[in-house]
Amino acid sequence: MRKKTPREPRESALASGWTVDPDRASTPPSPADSEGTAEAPELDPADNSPEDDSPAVGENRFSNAGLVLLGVFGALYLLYAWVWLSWAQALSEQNAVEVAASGSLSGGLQQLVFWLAPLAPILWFVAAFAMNFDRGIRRLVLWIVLGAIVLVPLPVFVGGGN
Amino acid sequence: MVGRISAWVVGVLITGLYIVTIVAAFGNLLMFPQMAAAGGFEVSAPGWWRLGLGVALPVIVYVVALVLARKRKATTRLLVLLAGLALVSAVQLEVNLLLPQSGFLV
Repeated sequence: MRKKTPREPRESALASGWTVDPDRASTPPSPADSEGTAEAPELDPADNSPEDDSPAVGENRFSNAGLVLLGVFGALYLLYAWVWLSWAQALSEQNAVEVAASGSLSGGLQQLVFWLAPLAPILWFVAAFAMNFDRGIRRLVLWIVLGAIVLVPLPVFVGGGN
Repeated sequence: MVGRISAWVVGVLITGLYIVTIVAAFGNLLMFPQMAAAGGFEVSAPGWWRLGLGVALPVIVYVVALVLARKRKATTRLLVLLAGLALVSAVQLEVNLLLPQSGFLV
């Protein structure tokens, strides 16, 4: 993570809503900055809508504290994903037997959905980023925290995950 | 144009996965009580909750995802839809762990 620049960021005159950080706007974003920003290149839009044709500038609007927070929650989300993956593996055989009753096509699609579960935290993180990265850090953090509550692996606390 | 078509294709595919999930849950809702009755059991209250949730949750999440991501660009909408499907899957997995099928019966 880079140091804070002494100059205040200013509103961009070209694209309203964006702020241009004088020192950082010229440098290309390094994907290893933090967990959160590492996701951003995936959001590169195929269509060129004006609001986000340059996600790299958007990242620079986040304060260092915001980036640290995103990194911490990113790590928590990865931990969630790992826990979910372990449970999906544990239940995969039982699930395979259950879905086999509904035919090969439907069963295969149900298997696909079943294996989406471990990806849920990662997808939530990326989706929250895509939804809110141009709407301010507060909304993004709100959604990230909400996801951390919704996706919490409850059976860990209840002791059912055996 | 190509991007728009591919976005629709992906959207239809994800919607299809939602439908598969809903249909499978609906099948469970219909079949499980019959199987339980055939075995001389009744479905417990948590069992009914779980069977109903399996049908209701994908519908609710699908609608909420569509509403939340409306007026966004196509990739964002698809991403939110997919995240919703993964959320449904995770909740089902969670319920499976918390409430084993034997807990369905009285």
